[in-house]
Amino acid sequence: MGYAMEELVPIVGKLAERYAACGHTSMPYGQAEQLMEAVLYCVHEAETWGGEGAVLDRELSAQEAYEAGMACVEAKAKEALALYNTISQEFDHYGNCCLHDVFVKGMPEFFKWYDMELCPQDTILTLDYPVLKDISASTGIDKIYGYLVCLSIEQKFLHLFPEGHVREVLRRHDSQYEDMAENICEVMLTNIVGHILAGRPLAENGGFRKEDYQKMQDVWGGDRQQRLRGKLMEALSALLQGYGEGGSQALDYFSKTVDNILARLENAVGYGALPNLFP
Amino acid sequence: MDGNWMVLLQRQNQLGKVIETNNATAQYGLMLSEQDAELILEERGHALREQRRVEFGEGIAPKIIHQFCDSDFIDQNNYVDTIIRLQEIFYLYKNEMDDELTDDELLHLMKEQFEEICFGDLDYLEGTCLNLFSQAVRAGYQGYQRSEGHGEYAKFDEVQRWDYDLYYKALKELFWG
Repeated sequence: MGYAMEELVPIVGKLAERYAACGHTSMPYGQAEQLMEAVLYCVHEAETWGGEGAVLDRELSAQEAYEAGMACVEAKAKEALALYNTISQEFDHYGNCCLHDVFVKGMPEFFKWYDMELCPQDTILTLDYPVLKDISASTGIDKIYGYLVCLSIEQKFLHLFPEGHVREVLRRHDSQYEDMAENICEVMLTNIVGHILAGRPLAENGGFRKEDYQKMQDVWGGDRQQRLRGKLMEALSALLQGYGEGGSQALDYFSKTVDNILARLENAVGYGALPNLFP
Repeated sequence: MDGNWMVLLQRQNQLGKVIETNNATAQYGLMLSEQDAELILEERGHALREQRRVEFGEGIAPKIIHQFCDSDFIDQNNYVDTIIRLQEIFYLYKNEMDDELTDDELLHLMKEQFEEICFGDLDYLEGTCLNLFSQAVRAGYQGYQRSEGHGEYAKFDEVQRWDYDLYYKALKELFWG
């Protein structure tokens, strides 16, 4: 960010005047800092809008960069709202309260209270339902938009399976899955990996048997982790073919989780705890 | 975050605005020299730092001056000191009342108490009157929004200010034995 404080302060001053319009000529440091953060957030938005590493034309003054950033924030908020409405049409929380509360109760409140002028950096929600991508570095509409993109990928993935099947897998994973604060897709992916390793069709439900665990152990012993990863990604890719557009984005989104599952698999094989991982 | 930018934000305020108040205060025999105005603004800076606040626009000093210039308890001798002290009290109670009151509401409240309850005693204004009222505001009282800060203190006063019975009794004793 190449702007000197002297250039940014007048912008904060203008925002502060809006506060003054409410009958105040002074404010606590905390509030003034919040306004400065709002300005920096917008300037940063202007610098990065249009993809990773996009850089703003340096000829712009701080005021112009701020205004461009504000427009970006507004556009992103509209895009996020449109995405939310799209997801809402077929949204299913599968009985999980955490996902239900974030999406059904929390998101509308975010769009209701989000103040893109005085506090665009405020995420407002705690986003308790964990997604499979680390979005902890972003805040405000960036974080909400990123979160909704994750939920959109997840919902598409979960819709590949009948609702009853998803609920059954969740129930076997945790009998109180309604209250669990875990990612549903991760549970489903773990189950899929188990089926692939055991050589059983996905449609076959009812839990894993002793011989399945033996087979998993044999496959793990025969294959090196990298080879196994390749196989699993291939299978996942085949599964996501029904995804249509965005299939590669989804594959990329889930690939880290496959790595996590493999790490847990290695541990489970080492300690004879496969039934815990694949109930 | 580097706090220097807050100093820059405050520099927008102008000395001229304070000196301009002389036009209105002259009729009450109150005048500020340029040094007086500089002192007021310097002390304003200290008070703001102490209360961890940042001021913008023309600031509160001209408003305080306009509000208090017709006070019975301010004359040229105590003018500058009183304004400085009122500034400190103002920022203190903006914080104490969580910015719930607007500047005007707080100034009305201060002026009324300064004149009618404290009779010019700034310590009493700061330590008792505003303290009591700020407790009520923090507890959720919002009646000042309707009254704009006028006639509010009596609702929370813990002291009986004027006892008519006692007054008449004393009057009778004095004049009719």
